[in-house]
Amino acid sequence: MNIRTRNIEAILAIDITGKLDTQTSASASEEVMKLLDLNPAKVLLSLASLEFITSMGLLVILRAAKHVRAYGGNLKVSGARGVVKQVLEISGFDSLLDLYDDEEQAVRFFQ
Amino acid sequence: MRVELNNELGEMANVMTALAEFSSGAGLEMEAAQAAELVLDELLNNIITHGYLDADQHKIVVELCVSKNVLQIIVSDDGIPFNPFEQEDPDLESSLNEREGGGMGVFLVKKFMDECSYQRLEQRNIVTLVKFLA
Repeated sequence: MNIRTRNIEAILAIDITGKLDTQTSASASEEVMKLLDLNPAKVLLSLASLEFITSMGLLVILRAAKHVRAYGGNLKVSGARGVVKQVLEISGFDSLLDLYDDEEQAVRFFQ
Repeated sequence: MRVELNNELGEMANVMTALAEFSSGAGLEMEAAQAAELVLDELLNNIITHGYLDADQHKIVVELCVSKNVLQIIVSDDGIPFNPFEQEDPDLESSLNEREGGGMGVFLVKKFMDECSYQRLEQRNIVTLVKFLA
């Protein structure tokens, strides 16, 4: 698991690579929450390079989304594919969060 | 494949390594291999985190086999009697703030497997999962 950030205009993009499972999710959550410390208004969780996720990984996303919503920010999720997309959909995250297949689309929908 | 582990989250990595070897050896498609990895992560995490009331070391046993287009996974532990499949499914309609993530693991196990059963036998919880392979 690896986390990097990019800036796309005024959007903080957080790329999560590898796996979000029992072994990695606690440290991933810590890193992501640290990146949200300054309450960025627009956050894009990019999952295009995320290969695998379990319910522990869902909690990483859930915690981040709740935090951003609490301070009035806007969080979107992009690029989930394969088993990651399947897990997000089965868990109902597609109706809970703003999910986009590709990043460009997500960026366009940030106001 | 048969792997034993102690009730420590850190030992799950060994199971996943053994699983990766088993999956490539058995020629499992990626979809089935990922499903196996997902359900083992969920079940073992639950057992290790919630299954024991004492601080002693316990043995959890994981067995996998593939035959005739059927993947079978058996996980057994000597923790408190617990049938994970009797749990209520999480409320997927609840709002973001109400979401806690509880029960999501077992829900995913049920969705990624075709058959899930539970037995309590000789002081052990035995979960048997079946996935039909294409």
